[in-house]
Amino acid sequence: MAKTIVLPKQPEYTIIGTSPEMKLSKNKVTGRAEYTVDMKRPGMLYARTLRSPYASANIRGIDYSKAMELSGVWAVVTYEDAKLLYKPSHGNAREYGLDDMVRYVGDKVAMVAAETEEIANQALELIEVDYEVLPFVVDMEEAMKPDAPVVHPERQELGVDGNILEVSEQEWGDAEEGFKEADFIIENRFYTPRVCHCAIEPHAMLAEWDLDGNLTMWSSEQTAFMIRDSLAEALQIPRSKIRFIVPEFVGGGFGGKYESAEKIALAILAKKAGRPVMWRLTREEEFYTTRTRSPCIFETKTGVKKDGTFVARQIRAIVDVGSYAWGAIMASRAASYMTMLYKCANIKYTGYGVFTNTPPSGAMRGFTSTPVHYAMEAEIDEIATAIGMDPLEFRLKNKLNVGDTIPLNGVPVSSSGLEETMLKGAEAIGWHRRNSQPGSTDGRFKRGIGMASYCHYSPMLKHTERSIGNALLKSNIDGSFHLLLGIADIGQGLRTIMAQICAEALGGKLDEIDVTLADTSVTPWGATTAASRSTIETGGAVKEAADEMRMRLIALASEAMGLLEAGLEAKDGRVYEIDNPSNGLKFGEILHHPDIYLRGDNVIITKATYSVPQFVPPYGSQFAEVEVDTETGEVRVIKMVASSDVGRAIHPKSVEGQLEGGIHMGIGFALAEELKIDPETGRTLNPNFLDYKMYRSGDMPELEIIIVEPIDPYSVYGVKGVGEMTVIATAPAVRNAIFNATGAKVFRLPLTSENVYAALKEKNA
Amino acid sequence: MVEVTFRVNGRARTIPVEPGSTLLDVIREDLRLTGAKEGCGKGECGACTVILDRDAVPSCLVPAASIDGKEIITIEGIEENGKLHPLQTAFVKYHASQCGFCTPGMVLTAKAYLDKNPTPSEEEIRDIMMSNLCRCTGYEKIIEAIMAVVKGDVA
Repeated sequence: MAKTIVLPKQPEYTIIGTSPEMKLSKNKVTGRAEYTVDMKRPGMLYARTLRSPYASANIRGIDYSKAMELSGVWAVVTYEDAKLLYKPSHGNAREYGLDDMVRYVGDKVAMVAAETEEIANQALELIEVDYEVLPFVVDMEEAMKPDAPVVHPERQELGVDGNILEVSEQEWGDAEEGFKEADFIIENRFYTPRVCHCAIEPHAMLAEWDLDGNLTMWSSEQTAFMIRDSLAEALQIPRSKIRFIVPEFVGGGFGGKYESAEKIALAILAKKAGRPVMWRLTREEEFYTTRTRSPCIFETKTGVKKDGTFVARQIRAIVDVGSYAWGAIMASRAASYMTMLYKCANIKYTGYGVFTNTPPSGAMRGFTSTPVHYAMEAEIDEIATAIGMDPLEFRLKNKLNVGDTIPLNGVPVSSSGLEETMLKGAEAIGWHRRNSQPGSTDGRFKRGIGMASYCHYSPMLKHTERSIGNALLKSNIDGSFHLLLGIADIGQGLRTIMAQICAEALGGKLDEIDVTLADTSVTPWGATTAASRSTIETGGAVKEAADEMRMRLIALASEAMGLLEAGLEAKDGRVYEIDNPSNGLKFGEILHHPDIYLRGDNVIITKATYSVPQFVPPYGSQFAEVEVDTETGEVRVIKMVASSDVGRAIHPKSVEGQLEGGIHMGIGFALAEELKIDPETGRTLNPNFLDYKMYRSGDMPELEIIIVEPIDPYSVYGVKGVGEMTVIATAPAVRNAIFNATGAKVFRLPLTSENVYAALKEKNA
Repeated sequence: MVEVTFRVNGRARTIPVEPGSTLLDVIREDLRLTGAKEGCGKGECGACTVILDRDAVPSCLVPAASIDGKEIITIEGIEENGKLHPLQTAFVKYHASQCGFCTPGMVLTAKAYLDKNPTPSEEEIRDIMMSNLCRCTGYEKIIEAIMAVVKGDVA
């Protein structure tokens, strides 16, 4: 049911919109913070995974008898123990806890539990595997050919041949007709690379059974419930027999910590060993065995009239989902972003999700938004320049405005700070200093300014994609509270932000609200902390539960004070008479009131389930100034300005932190990061921080963050999701700045000196 | 098996160490001080940083057998009688921790440098902190926190 949330005219919020000390931050700076891998359980063993040296192979048999003879080894599991289906297995591809087929170099083969990690490592070398090595394919376009080696041959049982997981065809209007009206058409082909989340904390999990068949797992994750549910189905036990806990401290996720079938193998291993088992990944394994961002190819065609109006836009996309189907919806999702930013009557999209024998790929900050905006926003600057129009003017002219209908879902734009982000960002970077003619300056070092805009995802993108947030709030007799939420805090500070929303709506005190997260035995069901959804979705549930708690307190206060409820309000931990504010009772005084607590009414529990009523578009613009050394192709980013429509900033410093961190990841995507696969063997070539280049403190450009707050009318307190914003527009802004500086067009990320130099040569040829 | 005697956070300890084990293993396993983290095991990320005889070092690369007679400071050892070190206070105040996993290493790298060079420029600090990777913050508020201590804005 649609709801309209009406905000008071001049709201006096005293808790949201401020930046209090983050809960638990003192634990982080003093070393008290306990992450999964810091935990110890009585009798705990250590697990290591045996991994495939081949990109594709059947396993005819595994002999681990010698491993079991090694002193200190307690158990080994293989496909014979753990070939249990991991759901959600997308579409018709299968992933199991352990399988008798391996599909990439590094794929899991067996798992060992031993008294020390060293012994477990030694045991791995004693496991004998009989592989039937098969031909493999690592190039996504090769994988689409009919005679390509098949990554998931078991799909043939369902009548599906080849490596195409998903085909998506979406059209609005008629693109073919639209192009006929064009004064100018450009066509390009873009490539975006495989990059890694690189959370500084590697994956770790701990599994422990009791003798009644109850399993407890602690794991560094972005969700507790989704994994518990998958485990319950795989192990065929009731959900009540699994307690899945995400510890209070998780060292970053960025989309890489919520899907892995290895949990099933670990659970079976722990059961077999009869003792708690701790499993973790080395950094090398983080690089070559965990999900990456999907490499993509975008073939674009864009047509405009000479006044800059779009007549048609078309993209053909190929998404390399790697060896398993975690990236299943990437190919279809990309189309959405063609419809939410600019007006265009004719849009056509064709997308393919394709298997290859490479590490699985899928969700990483920004999901499909990040690669596809690179292609789309690079085109904007090119086409604007070609018709002699300033790219900022082009965007201002074509953008969707409040009230315009988004073709994807038929929903009008509810709020938009997009224009403000464009104008304020342009001012901050000094857009007026820009050369209108790209590459027109003299000299070896050329400077340029470029921009990019975006609209990212938010829950309710389509009305068929309903998702929910839950909150449970309970009172203590002293007027303090416990807030129980199913979502996980992965470092972005959700714990504090949810407490702020709760305290504001409740009329309570921030430090008298204790928050428990992501424990399946204790908290209500929670979705994955991903897709920039938590503040908007779970925050909505928190507000509703807190609103109800406030009303119950006011009702009890009305009884205790002998006054009508309508004359009472709650703020700062007390209920007071509106016309005589000094007359009031603290929450604890109300709940201690004999009439009330003798009835048991001091125990108040409120619960809310919430779904945001409408898609709420998160917009933003970014501006980059670069200097290009035309003799080497080396690019130095001098300054990045990010201006983001965040709806409303609940905790402004935390919002800044998200935007700053997103730029770091975006700059890496733009300039330096790529996980390289050897086409001869399928091996990952650079699984370490030396050869996979992440930006460090001295590499970062000057940053300026501008927060724009249009206050959306539909979401809780008008918020929008900020977690993924700035990773999206950084690469195209940098690319456009390089284009402005030199006139060179680089289609392939990352914009390394080799790639830029090649583009410079091509331009000058 | 070798026995080493060293001081950690002001206290003398003598423990046996296995060949091949590292200072990080000693800190985390023998001493159960888990503030130092393994982020890469190769000295490339800085999450394992501790202060060894006044120098910030990646403890995952220091052989345990070599710490005999040395002075080690971990993140657990820089608060005094429950009062946070100014760098710790600054990291909290300026929101320089998000997930917190890189934080102990960041704080100790900064402390080791500031103890020897109390008035660096921001450029110097950015240069020094290159040994420590962060994926959450973009380094912005980390540098801000350290500079606040340099300027004396945090006690």
